[in-house]
Amino acid sequence: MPDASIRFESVSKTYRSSKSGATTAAVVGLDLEVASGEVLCLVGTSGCGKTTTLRMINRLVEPSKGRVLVGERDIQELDPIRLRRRMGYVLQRGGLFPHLSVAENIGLVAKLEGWTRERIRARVLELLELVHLGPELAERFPRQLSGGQRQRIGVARALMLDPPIILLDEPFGALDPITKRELHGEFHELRRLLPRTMVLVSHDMNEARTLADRIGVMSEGRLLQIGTWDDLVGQPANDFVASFVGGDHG
Amino acid sequence: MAEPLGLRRGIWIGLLGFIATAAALRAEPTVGQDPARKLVIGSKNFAESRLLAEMLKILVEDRSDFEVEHRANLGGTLVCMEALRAGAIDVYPEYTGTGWTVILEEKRRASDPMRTYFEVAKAYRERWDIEWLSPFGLDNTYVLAISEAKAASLGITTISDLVAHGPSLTAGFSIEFMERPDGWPGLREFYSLQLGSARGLEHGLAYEALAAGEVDLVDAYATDGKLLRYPLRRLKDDRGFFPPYQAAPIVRGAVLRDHPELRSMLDGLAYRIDDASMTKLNHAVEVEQRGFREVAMGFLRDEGLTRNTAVEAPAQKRTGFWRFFLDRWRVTLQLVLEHIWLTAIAVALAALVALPLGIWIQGRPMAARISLAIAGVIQTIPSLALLALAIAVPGLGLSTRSAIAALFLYSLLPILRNTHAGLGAVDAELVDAAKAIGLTKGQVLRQIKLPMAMSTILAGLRTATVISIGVATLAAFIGAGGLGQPIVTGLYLNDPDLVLSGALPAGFLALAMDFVLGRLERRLVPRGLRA
Repeated sequence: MPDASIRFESVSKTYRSSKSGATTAAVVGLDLEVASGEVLCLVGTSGCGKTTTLRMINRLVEPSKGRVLVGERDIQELDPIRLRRRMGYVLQRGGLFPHLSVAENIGLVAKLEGWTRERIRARVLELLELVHLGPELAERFPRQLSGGQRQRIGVARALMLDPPIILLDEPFGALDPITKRELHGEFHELRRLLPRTMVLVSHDMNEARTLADRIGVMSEGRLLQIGTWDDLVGQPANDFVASFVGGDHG
Repeated sequence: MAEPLGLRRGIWIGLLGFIATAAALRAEPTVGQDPARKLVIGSKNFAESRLLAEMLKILVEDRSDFEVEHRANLGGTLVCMEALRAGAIDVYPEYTGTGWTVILEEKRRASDPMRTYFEVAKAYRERWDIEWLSPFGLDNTYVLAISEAKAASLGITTISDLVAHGPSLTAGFSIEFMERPDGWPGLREFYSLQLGSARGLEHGLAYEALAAGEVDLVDAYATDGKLLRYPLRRLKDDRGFFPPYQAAPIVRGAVLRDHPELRSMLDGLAYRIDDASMTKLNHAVEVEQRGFREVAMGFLRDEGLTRNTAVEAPAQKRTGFWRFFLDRWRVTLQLVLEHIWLTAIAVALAALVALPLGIWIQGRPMAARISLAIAGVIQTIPSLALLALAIAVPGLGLSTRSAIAALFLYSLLPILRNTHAGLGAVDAELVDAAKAIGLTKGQVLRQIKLPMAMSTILAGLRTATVISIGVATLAAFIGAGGLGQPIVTGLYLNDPDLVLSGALPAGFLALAMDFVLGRLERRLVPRGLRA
């Protein structure tokens, strides 16, 4: 497997308001390393910079300072389109295109890559099976699916080109608790079958604990602490981390 | 996923093929190997103008080897004037009073007929190098006419008599009369005349309204043939308000310099037609429904001005609308094709401009505001004014091109606005998702935004098409053909059958196109978005 590590080197992102000219720091001096095959979960309250961090990995957001390396290569030197197609991306509510069928949604990027129809068809069916959906769903449209089904399709779409890295933006945030637990189980199974580098963003500490090897806690654009669940509980770096770790989970 | 794509492509290819075929069928043979020997006579959209022009045509044809074309039914004074100045026509019959008020915009009241003629002729020569030739003799000024029964019971013979009874009377005046300073607004002030109501009516319908008792008073021309048809009393303009309307041919100076011999030919009718003769001639075509060329020829023969006897076949006796309609199905079909051609070219051109523009202004708020504002302003210009503007543009002139230009301009707004709105309404989250999974900007547009905005964009095209089919009936005013032709002619000839033979297919065409485009919409809108 190719080197699928990710590294942030003192990365900052500031936004300048076009009206007032005032600047806001979304991410400040971030250093971070994700090893090949590792699952990292960034947690924090909304507006803490975790999603901005995620979006800097595939150049949806460009850093103002510092650099991001993927497989030890500065991603500024890579074509953003090629970069994104080498990374799966899963969105909160699935982000499925309502005018395309399930099969078309999953196969869209492969079609643009010039795959043959037969190859796309075979891969789509394979992926549907992987996310525990029947082949009869292939011709349905997103509006005919449940939230859990849509999210599974979102994951299948991210896996279409078999990318070494998968980014997940609050993938299970909009689901009911039962569906969420089900999908958590499938996530583990998927990891076993397809070990990939994954970075996911969540505001749910429980989810982070369940899914991730390591957890990064962010607040106000800064990474407060990064480590395993036991690290965070055992030696919290400060009161914020302690309360965040202890909040849901006394 | 390949099947609907193939179908879409098929529909587009079919559509393009259709337009190309229509264009090829219509492509006019290039004319004018020797433009010097060709004379174009224009006439306005009423019988008298057309008759006078037809007589001029016969005179020139008799006495020279000029190829004479008669462009009839041009939509009013401004259209004729623009056409003459642009060189699209060489001659047309005009009235001194019209030149005085409408073209020269004189605020003074025209007094003596001859003085008015000389002043107008001088101004035209100096300003536009246009020559007024000798008057025909008739003075087609405005008259007010009232039904004979009403006039008798009230004892009215002059306009001054009206003043006392005004509030109990209703008037149906022609649209032009309602607005002209030498029409109703001036008359009302000059005589201090108050009426119960004064409505604008299409002139061809005014007599019907009078006969039906819906109005008491109409405006008419002194030589109006229909005055002979109804029991009407002409009210004497006892205080001399209406300006003189002597008719005379007006010609581009350049034409007379190139061909001095034309002057005597076009002057051949000088003072040969008085009011009474003209009224009878108008009656012959308007009420007796005889052909223009036949009536014109008959008069010239009686006057000893021509020995030519070639006329078109006499009009067949009418036997009800459907019979009439079926008899002329070939003509109607030709007009329907012309109409479709006009509309299809205009809407296709508008789509070629407005679709890319609508895409381009996405994310450029300033450009979006400006282009939508411009398209919006164009939309508010009245159709006839837009047509008149178009024929003033060099290279357009009195042709189908002008009509297409006007329809094109009208079609821009619905297409542009819907493209803009449709693309703007695409969920930002989906655009973000598309970018995130590695679509290029162009792919986001083609794969996501356009399909999702498709139904809105197509609704814009549909609106543009239906509007254009309606507006295209006005193309007849500048002689661009289409289904407006029988409508316009029919209105001026007071021939309801003729009007219907254009109006019915036009209405049907609009409904049919709406239906067809509705079906197309159902095909083109992605299945996942259909309700």
